Amino acid sequence: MKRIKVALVGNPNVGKTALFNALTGAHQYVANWPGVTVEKKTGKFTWKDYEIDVIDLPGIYTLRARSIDERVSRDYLIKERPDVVFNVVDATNLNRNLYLTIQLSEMGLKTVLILNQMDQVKNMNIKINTSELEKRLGIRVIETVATKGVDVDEIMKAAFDASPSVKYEIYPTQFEELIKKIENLSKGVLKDKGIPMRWLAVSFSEGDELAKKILEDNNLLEEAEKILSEKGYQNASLVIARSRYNFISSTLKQVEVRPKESWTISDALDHVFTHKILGIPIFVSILWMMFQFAFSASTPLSDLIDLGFQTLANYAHAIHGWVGSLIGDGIISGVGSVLVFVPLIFFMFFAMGVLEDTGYMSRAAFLIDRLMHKFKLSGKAFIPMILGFGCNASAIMTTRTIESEKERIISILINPFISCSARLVVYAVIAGAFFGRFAGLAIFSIYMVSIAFALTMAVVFSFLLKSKESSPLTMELPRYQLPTGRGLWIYMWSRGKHFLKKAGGIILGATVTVWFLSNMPWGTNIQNSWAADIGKALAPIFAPLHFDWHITLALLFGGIAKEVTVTTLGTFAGGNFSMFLKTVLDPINAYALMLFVLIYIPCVATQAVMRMETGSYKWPILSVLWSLSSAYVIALLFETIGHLVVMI
Amino acid sequence: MIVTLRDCPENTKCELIDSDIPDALKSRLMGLGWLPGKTIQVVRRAPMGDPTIFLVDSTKIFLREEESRMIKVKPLYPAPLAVAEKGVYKITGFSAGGHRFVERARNSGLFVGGIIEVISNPLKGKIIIATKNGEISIGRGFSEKVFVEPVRR
Repeated sequence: MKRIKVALVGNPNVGKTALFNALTGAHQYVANWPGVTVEKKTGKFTWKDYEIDVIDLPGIYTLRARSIDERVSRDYLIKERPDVVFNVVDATNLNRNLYLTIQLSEMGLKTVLILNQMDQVKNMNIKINTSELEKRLGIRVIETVATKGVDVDEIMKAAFDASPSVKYEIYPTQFEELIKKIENLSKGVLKDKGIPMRWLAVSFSEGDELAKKILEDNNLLEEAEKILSEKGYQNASLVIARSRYNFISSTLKQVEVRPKESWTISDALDHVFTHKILGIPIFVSILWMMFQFAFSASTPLSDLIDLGFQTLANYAHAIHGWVGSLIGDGIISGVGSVLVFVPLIFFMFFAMGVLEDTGYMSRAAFLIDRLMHKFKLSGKAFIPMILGFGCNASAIMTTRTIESEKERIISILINPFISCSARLVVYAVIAGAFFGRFAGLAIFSIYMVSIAFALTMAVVFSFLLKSKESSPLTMELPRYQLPTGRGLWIYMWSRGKHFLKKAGGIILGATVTVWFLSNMPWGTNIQNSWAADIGKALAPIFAPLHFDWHITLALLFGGIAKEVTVTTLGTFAGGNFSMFLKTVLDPINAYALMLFVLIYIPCVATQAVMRMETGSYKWPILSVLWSLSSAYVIALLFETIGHLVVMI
Repeated sequence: MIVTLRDCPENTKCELIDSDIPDALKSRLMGLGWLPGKTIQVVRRAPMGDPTIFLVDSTKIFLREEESRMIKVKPLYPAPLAVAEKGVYKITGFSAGGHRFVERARNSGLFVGGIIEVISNPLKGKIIIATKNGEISIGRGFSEKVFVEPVRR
């Protein structure tokens, strides 16, 4: 079987990931906003006798790399040299998308042009003559609607037909000659290194750093600079860009007919959603609705699951001896207490999926960018923050779109303060036990605290790191789209499944450990168990916060994964959280505990990602110490003030 | 008159001018189709006054004040009075259609079809214009809503 490497390249938000899913049958999440794929993803499929590796690269507008995700794409194309490139373009916006296509041809890559979103083209009454486009560009062109599946045969055949490389001589003659001179100059030295000469020459004239470095490393820089300055092309980036766009528009004149721009539904929606007065109230109410929806829609399902686990636990208790206890008190009440929240988590992701897929998220970024800016962050830092509500570990990876290194570190450090879905489980148990009807409000308030605290910390960290710069922000506002059922399902599932996996793995393991510790030495009462010993040993530290040894132990284990806080308490509570929690906490302590859970230490997975993304242990260690001490101080302050107020 | 993109109020159309934009921003803008000579439409300013949405070639992007201050443009008429240089203009319309606005404008001698002369426009603070009623100074907010086009005498 022969192996072939195929890379998916294109502007942000054109449907690369959707095509990736359609080709490989994978379930990668696709959003209707830029910057979702930040590192390359690989998948495989077989077609005829071929094994095909598909690489989904982050979206880029040009091959001149600025941020890490752009660099990932460019370096891959230069260094790995895929056999074929599928250049995915938004067919409703060829004018802009073909810019990258020209750059790809300069890299000498075998390219197939995938005109995606053809359904939108129809909706917008745009006519595209595909075969004419094919003729003019000299490359194969395929029409797709990747979100609805693709004809793999057609695409793969095109991949094999694709002409090895095309060359567009689109620059002014004088400049073309200079390019050729530089090409010839470097050919001798760089012949066997697989570096595309035309790309090197053009990019160097554009002022690209990598091209410059390659020339410098081979002692060609001086000569190349001399060639450019002879005819006064030291700064040719504008000439180059203009030539490319001229070529594109002269091509499109023969290929595309667009109706006159008119007021579209997207414009009408934008008029309301970005409105000066209405915009922010709408944003806040949408967030509020998201919570309300997730809570009320999930309650009946959660109750049902709860009932199921209680029944199961009763059966388990019928088994005599330690096995019954392990299964009933340990596994079923423990893991069950977390699984009860599966519907809540899934509905939460569903609601977030709707916001992202419709394209509303980038409008939200627009509305609150000013606020973010006040806190020394850019609108780009907003994306990881929002994703942090799902899972901090994966959200931290999306900080790669941020160009400034300091701002990136700050975004990474504040992300754990954004309350992830695992913590929602803990709040739900505590708020459910203490705040009854106002449980939803209590949880909403924790989320607000979460945002406020994260932003405050951003200011503190940017002061400490002396970060002044914030990267230039050019964020695109995509057209609004109706989310597809399939897209929402993938969104919900690809994120929710981590939760299920965790429940079956790390949470189950931790639960069994807790059960073991609380039953050892064997046959003892829980009060005298090893668990109690550990908890009691640590409890004095938390005594000022009025957290007893049960809570202390739960928090300790919660460091592994936040849900374990609940499973640990579940082992002690024996099925009735509300009754148990009321014996160890009062409402003020309970809210303080929620605050503590919000702020104290990032979970093990998040710490690992922090280490990976920053390349140093320094930051995760700082993060743990910092968050532990701030959680302590804030919970203590809240309790002290809270109890004072109650006394009055 | 050459102004920065930041000076242009909502609904202004303007032409991008070749200028010294830092390389990082420039290459990104070029990739988005922002080339000298292109028409930029100012679509929306955010509730807190920043950032602003711009439209070029059917693509909407938003930029912050810092970046839009680096970008030089030439307003295309009819344009808001706020970016009009010295000279004689005809009022073509108001972008705020409210009754009270139109009335206020009329009281200052500004009405659709009326001729005015811009005496000084510092791009910050008040603009001094001459109307039939004599010389008056008008505020920025007001001047952003009055659209004018130049008249040759």
